[in-house]
Amino acid sequence: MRLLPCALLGLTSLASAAADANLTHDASRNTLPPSTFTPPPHFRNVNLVRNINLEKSYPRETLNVVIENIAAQPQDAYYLAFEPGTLGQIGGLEAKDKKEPERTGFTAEAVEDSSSYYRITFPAPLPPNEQLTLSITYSTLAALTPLPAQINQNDKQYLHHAFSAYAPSAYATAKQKTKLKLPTTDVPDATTLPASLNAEGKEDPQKQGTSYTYGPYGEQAAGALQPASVRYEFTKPLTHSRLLERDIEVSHWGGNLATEERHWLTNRGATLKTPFSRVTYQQSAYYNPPSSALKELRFPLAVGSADAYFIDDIGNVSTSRFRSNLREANLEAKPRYPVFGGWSYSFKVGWNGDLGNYLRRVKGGAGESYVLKVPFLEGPKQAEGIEYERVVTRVVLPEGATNVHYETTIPLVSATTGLHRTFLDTRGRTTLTLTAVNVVDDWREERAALVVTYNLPVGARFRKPLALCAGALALFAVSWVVGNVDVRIGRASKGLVGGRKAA
Amino acid sequence: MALTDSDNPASFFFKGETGRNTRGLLRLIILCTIAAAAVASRLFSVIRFESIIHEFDPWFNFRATKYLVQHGFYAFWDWFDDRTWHPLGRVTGGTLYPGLMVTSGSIYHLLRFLAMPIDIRNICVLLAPAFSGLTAFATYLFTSEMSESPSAGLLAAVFMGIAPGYISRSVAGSYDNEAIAIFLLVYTFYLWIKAVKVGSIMWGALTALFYGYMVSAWGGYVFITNLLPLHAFVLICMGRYSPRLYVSYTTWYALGTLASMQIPFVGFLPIRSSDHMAALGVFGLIQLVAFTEFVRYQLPTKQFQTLLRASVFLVFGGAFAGLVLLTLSGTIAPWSGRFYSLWDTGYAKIHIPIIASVSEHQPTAWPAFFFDLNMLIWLFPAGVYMCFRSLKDEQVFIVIYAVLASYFAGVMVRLMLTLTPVVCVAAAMALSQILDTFLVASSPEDNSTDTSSSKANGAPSTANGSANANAIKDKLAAAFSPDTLRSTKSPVVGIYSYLSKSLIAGAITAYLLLFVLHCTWVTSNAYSSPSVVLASKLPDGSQHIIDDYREAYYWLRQNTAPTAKVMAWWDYGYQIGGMADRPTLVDNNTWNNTHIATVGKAMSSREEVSYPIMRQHEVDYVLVVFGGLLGYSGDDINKFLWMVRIAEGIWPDEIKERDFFTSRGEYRVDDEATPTMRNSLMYKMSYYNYNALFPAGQATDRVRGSKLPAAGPELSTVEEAFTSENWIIRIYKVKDLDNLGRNHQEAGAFEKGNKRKKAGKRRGPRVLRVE
Amino acid sequence: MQLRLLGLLLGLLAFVSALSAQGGQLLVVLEEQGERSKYSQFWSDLEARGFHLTFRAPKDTSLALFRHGVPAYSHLLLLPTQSKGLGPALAPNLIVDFINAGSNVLLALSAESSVPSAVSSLLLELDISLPPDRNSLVVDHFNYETKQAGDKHDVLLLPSPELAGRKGVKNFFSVDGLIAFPRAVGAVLGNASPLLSSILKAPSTAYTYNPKDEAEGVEDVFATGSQLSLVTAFQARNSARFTVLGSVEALQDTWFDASVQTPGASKATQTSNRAFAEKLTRWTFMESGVLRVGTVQHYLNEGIQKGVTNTTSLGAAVDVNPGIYRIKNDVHYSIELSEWVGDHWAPFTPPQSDAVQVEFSMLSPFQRLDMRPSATTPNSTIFTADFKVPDQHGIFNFFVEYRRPFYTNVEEKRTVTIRHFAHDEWPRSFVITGAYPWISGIWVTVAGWVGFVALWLYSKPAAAKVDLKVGGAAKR
Repeated sequence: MRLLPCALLGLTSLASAAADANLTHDASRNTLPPSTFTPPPHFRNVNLVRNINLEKSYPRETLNVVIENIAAQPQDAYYLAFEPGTLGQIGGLEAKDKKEPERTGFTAEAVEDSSSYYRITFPAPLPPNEQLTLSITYSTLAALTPLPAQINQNDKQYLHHAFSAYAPSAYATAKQKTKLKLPTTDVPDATTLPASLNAEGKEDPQKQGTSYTYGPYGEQAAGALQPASVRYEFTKPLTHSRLLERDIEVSHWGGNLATEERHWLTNRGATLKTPFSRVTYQQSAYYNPPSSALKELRFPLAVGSADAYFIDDIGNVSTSRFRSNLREANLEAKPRYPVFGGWSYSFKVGWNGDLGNYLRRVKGGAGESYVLKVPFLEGPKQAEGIEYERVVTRVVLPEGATNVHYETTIPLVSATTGLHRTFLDTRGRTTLTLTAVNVVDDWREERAALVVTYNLPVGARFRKPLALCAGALALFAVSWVVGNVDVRIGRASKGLVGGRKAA
Repeated sequence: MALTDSDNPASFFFKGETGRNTRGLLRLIILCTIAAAAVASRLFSVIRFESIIHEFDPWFNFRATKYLVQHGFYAFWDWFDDRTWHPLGRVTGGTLYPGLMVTSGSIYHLLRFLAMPIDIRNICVLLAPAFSGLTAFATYLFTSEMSESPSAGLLAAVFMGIAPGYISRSVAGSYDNEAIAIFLLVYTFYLWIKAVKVGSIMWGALTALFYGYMVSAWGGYVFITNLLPLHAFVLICMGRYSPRLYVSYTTWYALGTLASMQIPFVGFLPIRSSDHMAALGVFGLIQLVAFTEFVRYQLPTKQFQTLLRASVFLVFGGAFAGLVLLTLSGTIAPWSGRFYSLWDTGYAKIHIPIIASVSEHQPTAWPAFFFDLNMLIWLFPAGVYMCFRSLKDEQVFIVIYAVLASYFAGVMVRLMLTLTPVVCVAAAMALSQILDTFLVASSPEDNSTDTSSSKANGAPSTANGSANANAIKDKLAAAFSPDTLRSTKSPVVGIYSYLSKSLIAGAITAYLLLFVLHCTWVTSNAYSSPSVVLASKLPDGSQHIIDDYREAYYWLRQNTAPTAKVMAWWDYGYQIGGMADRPTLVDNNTWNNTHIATVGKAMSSREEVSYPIMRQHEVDYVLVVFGGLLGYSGDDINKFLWMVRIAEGIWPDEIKERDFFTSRGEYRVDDEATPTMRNSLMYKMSYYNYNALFPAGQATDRVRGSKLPAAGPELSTVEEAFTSENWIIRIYKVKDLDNLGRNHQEAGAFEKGNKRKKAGKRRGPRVLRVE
Repeated sequence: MQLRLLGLLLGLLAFVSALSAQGGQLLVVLEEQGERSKYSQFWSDLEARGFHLTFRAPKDTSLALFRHGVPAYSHLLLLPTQSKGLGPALAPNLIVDFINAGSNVLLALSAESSVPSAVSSLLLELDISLPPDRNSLVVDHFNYETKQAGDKHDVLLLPSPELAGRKGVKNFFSVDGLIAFPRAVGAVLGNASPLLSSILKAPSTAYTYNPKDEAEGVEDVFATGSQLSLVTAFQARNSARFTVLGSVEALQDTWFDASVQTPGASKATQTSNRAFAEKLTRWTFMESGVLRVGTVQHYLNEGIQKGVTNTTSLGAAVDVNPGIYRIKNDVHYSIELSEWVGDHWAPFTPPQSDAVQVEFSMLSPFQRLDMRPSATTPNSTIFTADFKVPDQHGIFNFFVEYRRPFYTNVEEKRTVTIRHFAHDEWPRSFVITGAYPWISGIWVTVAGWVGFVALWLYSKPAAAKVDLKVGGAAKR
C-alpha cells in the first residue's frame, strides 16, 4: 500500500489524519474493543496535582491526589485512568500515602479487561467520606517523539510531548493542575489554552523558568480530556533498550560473582536528514557540542569489580576503558560508531566481583542456607537516562541449590526457576529467571535490590569433583582393556614376517 | 634441545628391557613437550589481540561451520547460500571441501556431549594449533620410518612444530583448510611408507582412509594423488617391484579413489580429469608388471624377453593413444588453469588474471626460503644425500618428494607449505646423523658380530648410536640389497678426539638455538597479525588498535536492512558475509569470472555506466577500502588495476587498462591522473569529500604519497552513507531513480540551483511528440 | 469511556470527510484576494467534496509548504500571478520537494499574466516547455468561441479529451459538450519522459501567437497543432500528481456555464467547463485513478497445496509466502488490487486490451505472464498466475509493475530464493531402469570377491614352499 506513507506525511493536519483513518475506518473501530469494564464511581478527586518531569529522555509523572470516598460503604480499590493506548508503556508504577510514606501495602496492577486502567488497592479499606492523599509515581516509555523527525548531523533536536491538561481520571475531579518540568527554556511551541477554561481566568499555561503550569481547573467530569502538547529542545540521545538480558552467576568454589549484560540499544532520536558524514563529525569533534548521538556509555560498577570486558557479535571492542581502584570501578565503553537517531547497537559487557560482598551465610536451616543480595538492574548510567522495554535477569546458583526464594521491589511480569547445564555439570545449575517490562534507569542498583535465599547441601559441593574423578577412572579402565585386546589373525601373518626377515 | 640431554644419558644408565621402557617414556614426554611448544608458538595473535578469525577465507569456513553446527550435516550438504554471489547464489554444499567444517563440528559436538559447551568460534580459532601438535607427532612417525636413529624422528618433530613455513598457515585463528591438511598429508605419507614396507592390506586401507579424509579437506590432495603413483612408478623402473608394493598400491588406489569420489565437489574428477590420470596409469601398469612377474615364473627367459618387449610396446601404445583420444574427445577434462600456471609462471598473468591477482599464487622470492626454513634449507640437501646413501624404498620416496616439492615451492608461494615437511624430515636425518656420530663419549671399536646379532632381533641398536653402528648398518644394507649404490658401501669411520666432538656438538647446539630464535621472531612479527585488526605503535610505545574494518562491518550489520546487497571487491566478500552478515555480489571463492568482471566494470567505469549495472544487480550499498588517510597500502586504489584487467578480459572494448595510465605510463591519482581514472567510480568514491579534511589544496594521499587535485570529485548516483574512523572503509548508498524521471546529474544540478537552459532557444530540428 | 467515544468520534468524522484518498488540506495560492470571487463556484465545488481550502498570497510570510519537515498541505493549487517571482516560500526546489514528499500540485496558467520564471524553470525540470515570449497565447481560426471573442479567436472550444485510443489508458476526463479555453497557454511536452502525458491537446489548426508584437506573419512559430498541450498531466514515480492547466479562466464562473457557439454551429450550447474542472481536480487531488495493493501471496502449488484457491481453508497446512523454492516447482502467485472510487475502495479492472502482468526475474525476466482476475472481494480484485519455476537456481523476484498514464504506479517486489535439488530429491538408482546393468555389475563383483576370498582361505598354501621362494612367491 503505497498511499499510506503519503497520507502519514500529512498527519500534522487534522483532516489528512482523518483521511488516514478513512482508509482504515472499518479497522479503526476494531482497534478499540468495547471493554466491558467501567470503574464504579466510588471516589471523587478533591484535589489533584500532576507533575510531568521531562528532564530525562522519558517522562516521569507524579500524581498527588486527595481522594474522598463518596460511596456508602468502605472502598479499598482506586482506579487510575490513562490516555488511551498508553497503558502498555507505563512502567514502575508505585503508589503510597503522601501523609505517611512509610505505610506499606499499596499494590497496583493493570486491570485485565480494560485498556486504560490500573487498580490501586489500599492496605485498609477507606471508610465513607474519609479522605486519603495518594502519591502515585510512574514513567511512560517511548512517549517522546522527535519533531522534526529528521535533522542534520549538528542540528539541535526538539522533542514533542502530547498530554492532556486535565489529568485523565475515572472519577470527577474538583480541582486540579498539571505541572511540566522541562530541561531547557528553549520551547518553540507549547499549547496555550483559552483563559476561559482556567479556574482563575489567568492565561494558561503559567511559565516560570523551565516549568510550565496548566490550570488550576475547576470541576471536571470523569474522563474529561484536554489535549495539549509541548515541544522543547533536547539535544541528547533517546536511548531505548529493546531488551536487556542479565546473567548473574554465583560460584562458591571460586568465591566469584560473574555478571554479564547483553544490551540491544536503539536511539529513538531524530534520524539524519542527509547520511552520516565523517568530515562533519570529525570537525565538530574538536569542540564537543551536545549531540543527539550516543557516543559513550559509562558503567559505574561495584567497588572491587575486576576483569571487565566489552564485546559484540564480532569480537572485542577495542575502544573501552576500565579503571578500578579502591574507591570506584568504572567501565567506559564507546560503541564502535556514534549511534545516531534511528541507529541501533547491540553489545555485551561483563565483569567479576568478589562473592563475599554479595553473599551471606545464614545459620540454621536445612543444610547450609545462603542469602544473596544483588542489584536487579545495573546497566549504564547516563545523564539523559535510559529506558528498558524488557529486562530479563537470570541468577545462576550453584549446582544442587534448593528451595530458592527471592524478593525485590521492582514490579515483575514473570518469575521462573529452572536448570541451566553448562561446564562439567551433571544435572545443571539452579537458575532463577525474573522478567520486568518498562523499566527506566532510575531503578539502577539499590532501588531495585534483588534478594535471593537458597540452600546448598554439602553433598552438592562435591558432586562435580567426584564426577570428574569417576570419568577419568573410566577412561583409564577402558584404555587398559582396549590395550590388552589381541586382534592379530595369528600365526599366518607372523610366519610371513618371519619369512621375510629370514630371507 | 630436550632430546640431546635426554637420549644419551638414558642410553648409558639403562640397558636392555628397562632401558627400552625408559626411552619409550622419555620419547613420549618429549613428544608431548614438542606438541605443547608447537601449540604455544602459534598463540601470539590470541594473546596480543583476541581470539578472532583471521584474514579472508577463514571467515567463510567459520560461517560455514556455524551453519553446519546449527542446521546439521545434511542441511549443510544441501546448503544453497543465497547471501553470496547475488543474485546467482552459490551451491555451497557442493562446491567446498567439507573436511575442515565437519572436523570442528564434530569436535564441538563431542565437547558438548562431555558437558563442555565451548563456543564454536574458539574451537575454530584453536583448531590449527591443535592439529599442528598432531602434525609434529605424525612427522615423528614418518621420519622414524626413514632412519633407525630415533633422534631423527624427534628432531623432525621439533622442526615441523616450529618451522615458520608451516606456522604461516596454522597460527591460531587462521582457520583454513591447510590447518588440518598438512597433518593429513604427513600422516598419509607415513601410512603409505608403512604399507610399502609391510605390504599389508590393512596399512594400504588405512592410507586410503586418510587419503579420503585429505581429499575432503584440501584441494592440495592432488599432490598425494600424483606423488604416490610416481613413487610406485620409480620403484618399478628401479626394478624394485615386489608384491608388497603391488598390495599396498592397488589397495590404496582402489579404496582411495572410491573414498575421494564421495566428496560432492570432487565427484567424478578422479576418473575424468587429467590431474588424476597418472594414478590410473600406474594402476594399470602395476597390473601388467604383476602379470609379467607371474608369467616370468612360467616361461623360460628367452621367450619371455620377446614377449615382454612386444607386450610392453603394445600396451603402452594402446594406453597412450586411448588417453590422447579421450582427452581430445573431452571425456577427460583438460588440465586446469592453476595447473598450467605451475609450469609457466607467466601463464596466469596473461590468461587468468583472477588467479594472478591472488598474492599467494605469485612465484616465490628466494629470501622466502631462508625466511621460512632458516637453517633447515641448507641441512635439506645433506639429508637428501643421506637418503641416496642407503637407497631403500622409503628413501626413494623422500628423494622424489624433495625434488617435486622444491620445484613447486619455487613456482607458487603457498606451496612452500608442502615443501616444509620434507625439508624438516631430511634436515632431521642429516642432523641426527651428525649428533649420533659426535655425541658419543665412548670411542668406537670395530667388531661387527655382537652388534649384528643385536640388530637381527629387531632392537634399535642406535640407542648407543655410535659410528660403528652406522658401519654395521651399511654392511647389512649392502647384504640385503646388492643393487644399492656403490657410494653406500663405506668403510668404518669414527671420531676419537673429544675436542672435535665438543666443538661440533657446541656448534650444532648454537645453530639449533638460533633456529628457535628465528622461528619465534618470524612467527611473532610476520605471521601473527589478523589483518582484520591493524595494530600500530603510539609514540609512547603502547599499542594502538585500528579497528576500522569491524567498525564499518558492524555498522552495516546493525543499521541496514538484513537483505541489503553490498557491492565490494571480491577480497572483502567473505568478511562482509561473516562479520556484516549481508549479501554480497562477489567473494573470495572466485568461481564466476564474469560476475567478478561485472563488479570490476562497475567500479572502473563512469557513474552513468555503472549506475545501470548496480540497479540491475539490486545493489544497495557499495563498500570501498581507502588507505589514503592512514597510509594503509592494501587499499582498493592499489588493487584497482586488477579490477580493470579482469573487467577488460570480458569487455575489451569498453574498459582499457591503457586509459588508466598517463601518457608517460605512470599510474597516478593526482592532477596528472587520466580523465578515465578520475571519472571512474572507484576513484570518486575513494576521494569523495576527502579534501574537506585538509586546508584548501593541501589534500595528500599518504599511500601514493601524492598531492590530490584541489577540487574533489563529485558524486551524483551514490551518496556517502558511512565512513569509518580512519577512513579505511567507506560505504556508499546507491540512490533510487529520480522521482521526476530526470537523470541524477540534472537533478543534482537543479538542487544546486543552476537553471536548465530554455528549451525554446534550442537549435536544430524540432522533436515532435508522438503518442 | 468518554476517551473511547472520542476515538470513535474521530473515526466518524473521518468517514464523512474528504473524498480524496490522500487528505483534504488544499492550499490555494492567488495573488490578490479580490480574484477569489471570480472562482466562487469552483471553490464551493471543492469544499462540497470535503476539501479544506487555505488561501494565501505568494509573498505571504505565513505561507510555508512544509512544517517540521513534512508537507503542511496535501494539495497545492497555483493560480497565475502578475509578479515575475513567486517568492521564497514557493521556490522551485521547495515545490519539487513538495512533490517528492507525495503531495499534488495543480498549476493554472494564463496568457494574461506572464509566467513567473520560477514556474517555467520548474516546468523545464518536468520536461514541459512554455513559449519563450511570455504572453503568447493559443489561437485557432476554426473552432473558437464566436460570441465573446468573435474577432480575436483566442477562446478555444474543444470537445472532451479523447484518450481511449491509447492502449491501457482509462479516460477520467470525458465530459459531454464543449470546453472553453479562453486565452490559453500551450505547452510543448518533451519526448523523453514517460511520466508526462497530455490530457487535452490543441486542435490541429491551432498555433501560438503573441498579440503584443506587430510583426505580421510569424516565422519560427513556437509550436502548432496537436503539439500544443493545453492540459498536461505529470505523475511522478511516487505517484504524486502535477497538472498544468493552460487557461485559468476556464475555471472562472463566467465560463462555467456560459453559452457558447463554434463557427459554423447552428445554435449555441452550454460549456461543460464545470464538469471538466471537477474531473480534472478529482484526478489531480487523488480522487480518481488511485490504485492500492492489498495482500500479495505466493505459495507452492504442489502436493497437498495443489490447486488451493483459498489459503485460509487449509489453515496452517499451507505455508504462504515461503522464502525459498526449488527449481522446477509449481508456484501460485496472487495480488489484490483495488481502485479508489469517490469515497471507497472498489475492485480494480484494467482497461480494455490491457492486463496486469507478473514477472519472475533474476537480472532479466524468466517469466512474464498476464494475470487473470480470479476473484473479487467487495473492494478489491484478486489477480492470480500459476507457473513453473525455471530450471535455474538463484535469487528471484516476483515483480508486478503496473505503470499506466493517469493511474498511480503499482510496484510490488517479493524476493524468493530458488535452490537446487537436495541430495535426496533425485530418483533412486533402482528406479532408473538404465542403471540396472551397473547395479547388477556391482553385486556380481561383490559376490565374486567374497567367493574368491573364501576359496583362497580354503586353499591353504603348503608349508614346504615357504622357505624356497622369497616373500612374494610365498604369497602364492
